[in-house]
Amino acid sequence: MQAPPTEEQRRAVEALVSGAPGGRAADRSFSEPWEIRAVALAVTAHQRGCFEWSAFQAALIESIRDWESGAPDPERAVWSYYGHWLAALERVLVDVGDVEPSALAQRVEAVLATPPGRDHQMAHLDPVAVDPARR
Amino acid sequence: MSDVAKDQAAIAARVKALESILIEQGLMTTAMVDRTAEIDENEVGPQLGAKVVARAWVDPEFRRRLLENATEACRELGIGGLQGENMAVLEDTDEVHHAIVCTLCSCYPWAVLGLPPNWYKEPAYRARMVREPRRVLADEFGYAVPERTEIRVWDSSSEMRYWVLPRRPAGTEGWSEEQLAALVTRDSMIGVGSVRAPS
Repeated sequence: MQAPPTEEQRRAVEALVSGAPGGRAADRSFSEPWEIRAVALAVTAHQRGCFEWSAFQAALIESIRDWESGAPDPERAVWSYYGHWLAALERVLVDVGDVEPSALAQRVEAVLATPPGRDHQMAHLDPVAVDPARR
Repeated sequence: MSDVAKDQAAIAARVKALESILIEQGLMTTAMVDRTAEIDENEVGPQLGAKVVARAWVDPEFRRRLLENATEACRELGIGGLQGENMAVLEDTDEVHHAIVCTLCSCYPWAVLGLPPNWYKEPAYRARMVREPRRVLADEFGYAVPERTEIRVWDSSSEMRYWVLPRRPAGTEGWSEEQLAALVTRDSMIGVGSVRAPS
């Protein structure tokens, strides 16, 4: 186990995330775990010197603008703030040369090919342990 | 899987792939990403589960529906999500106390409880909770379950995610749902703590 984040680390992350463009406040709440992971990845990559935050912000603005001005396409009709966030992150990482688009595509295939939880798909309908009452 | 669930799985895979590439290149470590994620996790938090618990305490009809089909009942309150599917809620009584583990990975009803705490994912918690739950609750969580109460430990899997409806604390008669929800902790819904009214 590692120590919880310090107040300073917390403030640094909040400053970056709340300063990111686009999206009404209500759209910013997380609804899937990957969204949190995507935010953490962008912040970590920036803090590790992979790219300037301003470059990420510009990519995020561009992704959102493209979506807003795009022709109505059912594939992309659903608004996802963190979908844009991820697109922007991929974009800057490709731009700085840290990620190769074809390598990323291959890796995505590999992840999707791995069965989730492997042999853990069954529902366990009884308690796995019981500590009886002593009356 | 619905189209929406499929889309979510695809995009989640994308994030995972990106992370593994960045780690492989030595640009960051999992621990660094974990640390940053922990800061954001507070936003999803267990307050959704707390809302459900408070509703169940004040509305017996809702409680009945929740125990019968937690997934549907949570949906009534607009709560759900990819991993919120196939949830089952276990009701604590004077006779029986419930606690959840995942003995293989760390399946967790995150749609209501937020993301799992680190200790939940540690093998030590999972293994010991199955072997000696009463002792783990007392030693590790300071939660002394009375001897006359049976403890049942449930194994969450991706097909069935359990969580606990804790007992409403005495002295909260006439409280509003909001007041009650503020008392409900994540630990009480995992089953490693009780809900206490402020003294």
